[in-house]
Amino acid sequence: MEVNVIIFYIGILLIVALVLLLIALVILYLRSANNLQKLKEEKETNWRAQMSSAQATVKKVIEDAHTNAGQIVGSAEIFKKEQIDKVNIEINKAITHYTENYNRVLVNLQNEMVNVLKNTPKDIQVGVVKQLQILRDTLQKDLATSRKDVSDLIEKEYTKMHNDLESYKQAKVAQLDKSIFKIIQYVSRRVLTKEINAEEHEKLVIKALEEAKRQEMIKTEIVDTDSNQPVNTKQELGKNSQVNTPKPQI
Amino acid sequence: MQSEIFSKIITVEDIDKVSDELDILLASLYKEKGRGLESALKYNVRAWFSEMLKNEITNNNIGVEKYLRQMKKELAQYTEVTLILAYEPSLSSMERFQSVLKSYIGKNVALDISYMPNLLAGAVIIYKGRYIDLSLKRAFEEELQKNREEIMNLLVDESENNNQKSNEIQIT
Amino acid sequence: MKDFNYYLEDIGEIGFIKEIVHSIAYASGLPDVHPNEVVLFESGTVGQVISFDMDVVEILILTGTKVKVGTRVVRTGELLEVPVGNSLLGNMVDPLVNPVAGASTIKADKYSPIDTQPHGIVGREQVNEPLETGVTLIDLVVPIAKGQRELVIGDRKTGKASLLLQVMGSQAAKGTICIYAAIGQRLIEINSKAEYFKAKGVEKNTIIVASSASDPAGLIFLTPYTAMTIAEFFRDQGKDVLLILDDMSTHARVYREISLLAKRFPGRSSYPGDIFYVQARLIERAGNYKTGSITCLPVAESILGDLSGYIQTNLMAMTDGHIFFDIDLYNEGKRPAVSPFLSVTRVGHQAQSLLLKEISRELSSFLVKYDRMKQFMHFGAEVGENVRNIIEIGAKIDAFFNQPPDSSIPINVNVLILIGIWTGIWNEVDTAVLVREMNHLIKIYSEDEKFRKQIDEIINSHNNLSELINTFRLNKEIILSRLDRPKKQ
Repeated sequence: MEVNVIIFYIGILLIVALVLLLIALVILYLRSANNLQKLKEEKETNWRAQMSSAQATVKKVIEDAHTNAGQIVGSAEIFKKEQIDKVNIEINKAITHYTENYNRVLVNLQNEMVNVLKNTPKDIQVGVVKQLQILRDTLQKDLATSRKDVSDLIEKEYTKMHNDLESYKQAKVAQLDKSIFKIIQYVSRRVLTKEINAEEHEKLVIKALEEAKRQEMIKTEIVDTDSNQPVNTKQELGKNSQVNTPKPQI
Repeated sequence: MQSEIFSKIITVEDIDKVSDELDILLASLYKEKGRGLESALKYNVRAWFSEMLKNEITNNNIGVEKYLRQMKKELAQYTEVTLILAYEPSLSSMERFQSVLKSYIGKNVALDISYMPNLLAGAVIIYKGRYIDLSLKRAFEEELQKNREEIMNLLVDESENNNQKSNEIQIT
Repeated sequence: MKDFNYYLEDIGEIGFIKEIVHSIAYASGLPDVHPNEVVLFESGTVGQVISFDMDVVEILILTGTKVKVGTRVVRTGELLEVPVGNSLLGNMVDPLVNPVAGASTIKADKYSPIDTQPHGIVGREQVNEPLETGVTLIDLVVPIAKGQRELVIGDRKTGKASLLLQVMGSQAAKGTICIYAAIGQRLIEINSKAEYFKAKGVEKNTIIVASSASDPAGLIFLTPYTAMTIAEFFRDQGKDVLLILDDMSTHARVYREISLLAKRFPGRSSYPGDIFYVQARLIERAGNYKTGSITCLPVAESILGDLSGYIQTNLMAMTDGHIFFDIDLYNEGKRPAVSPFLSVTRVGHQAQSLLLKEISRELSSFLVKYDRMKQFMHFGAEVGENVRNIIEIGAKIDAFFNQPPDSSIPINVNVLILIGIWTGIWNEVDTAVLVREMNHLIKIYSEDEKFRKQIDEIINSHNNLSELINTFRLNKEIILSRLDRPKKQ
């Protein structure tokens, strides 16, 4: 029984504790809500203030930037002008520098060339002499070979010409012979024609007729007495009159 | 048919002339009321031909037209022989040739004579399409060709002799 | 040929010209003259004896020099012979085988008579090898074989000469000896043909035997005989020869002129009674022999498509078929304008393989069906799907047969394209695309050796059309892969 009472009192204590806790929690909650509300309001005002301040700053920054930019541009132009001037000065400097250098170099070169020219004759002389020597040797060689070639060529041409002349001579001689022979023929014909008189001509013609008869070129014609027409005798074929009809080769 | 006129025919031209004259006479037979023949004989044909014909017509009793046509037939029977000669033969020579040929052929022969002097002598004979050269030209040229060298050598010898002689003359 | 005096001395006969009528001279003398013997005039003119009687010899003048009455003439004792040899290749010659201006000198291997008797049966062989012309329509529908005589007939200006040149170019490139006989043509046309062969690069396998319209009638008449004599020379060397006689109607006209001048009695259409014999004994000399072959393509001209003319029917009777050029097809724009219905080949099919024979048969029957359907369509009747299919395929086959004159298409490509059409590869495409793709296939076949071998193997391994169609139907990519078509998404 004591245990139960203890438990009971513990329980009541616990309940009371819980209730107190609860009340505390509620109070806390309310407080925090209030705080939150306050904070929100603060925040809002802050934010607005911040916004306005930010705007102001931004404005300011922009203005500053603008003025700065203007300054920069202005300075840039100035800078540009200054730079151009500087660059010009530098260029001029460089020009003078390089021209001086160039002149120096030219002068040096000139001097050197003069030196070289003074020296080259000697070198050239030596070189030229060498080259001349070589040239002379080759020329001599070439001359010798060309002399030989020319002499060979001349000899060849000479023999060719000689042969041509010979053949020309022979052809001409043959032609002459032919012409002479023709003349002899012509003259002999003329002489013969004059020499043979009409009687001899007649005899020769009759001899020719006899020869033709002998060779059976002139034959006696057999005539049919009733019709007075020649009888068709089968003619002998002439010696070369056989003509063969070609047959195909298989 | 025997006729004096045929004895005058030797060459092909003679045949053509006589044939033409016979054609003229035949064409004139029935003209001018039967007197055409007389007029033609007088004016259109040769005198000797006209004379001979008149004699023969009077001697033969077969009628003019038949006689003329027979003559034409006879003329057509003539065989033609072409002779190419190296000279121009006389009439008597041509008659000789004609008679020789007639004896060989056995028919009347008409000669077609051409003149080609380069034949030298002899004849080229063409008879019924056959050709034979029996002229001296061929034989002459063959001989010349055969003996060409000999002839040329002769020439050379002659010219050498002449040169020698001229040299001797010069020296003297 | 020797000179006048030589023959005069040698033979011992002489004649004299009594009368001249255009190209025929009448001479007296020459007692032992033979028919067709060559005679020589004193002026150098050559003539040929065509006939003689007791009094007069009729001589056909062959060369152009003037002959006068009274000119002497001698016999040569020879028949007309022409020089033949390998040096003729690449040259243009006249009917007496004298080089025409610009041609090189001819070195004769031998002299052959122009007019010989045709071979008998002994020595000939059956026609057994096809002649690939390179023209689709001819190779598939009206095929020609080596040794065949095939007449090419049609109206003037229907493309006959173009086809012949195409065939010649295609065959010359394969090594066949090609001989073109230009019978009485204009010089400008003859020259253009010579230029064509030069441009194609095949002139070393070609010979042109040419006579122009201004030549003597006797010379024009001899042209095809000379061409045939030259063809026989190459045939005897074991080569295949293609001989084109362009054209035999002109030859007949020239022979008619000669006969009428020679006072022969005129027959039908004033042609002489022996016109058939004169042309038949020429064409009979062509054929397939043990040594080689002569394929002859004589050309004939018809008037307004009339195949029943005298010379035309004669030539059709002496040849192994004809290729007919229809003027209506030509006017419709078809090239070549060959009518597959009126063209005939009597021995071409026996040289084809079984497959090609079947293709030819099927194609011919299809073309008949297609033609009937087209006529049916004229009436404007509504047609079923079957008919529409036939007309569509027929239109594609028409486009397939149209071929430019300078192209030569191998037979296997033709088979390939035809099978492609049949298996429906070109069903969804229009004609322009079909033509483009066909040309593309032809190009690939000629350039790509692998593709060519593949196609040749497939086609040669089939004896049956339906089997071949099945093969391609199952393996369409063989063709499609080469067509470069955009892929369907």
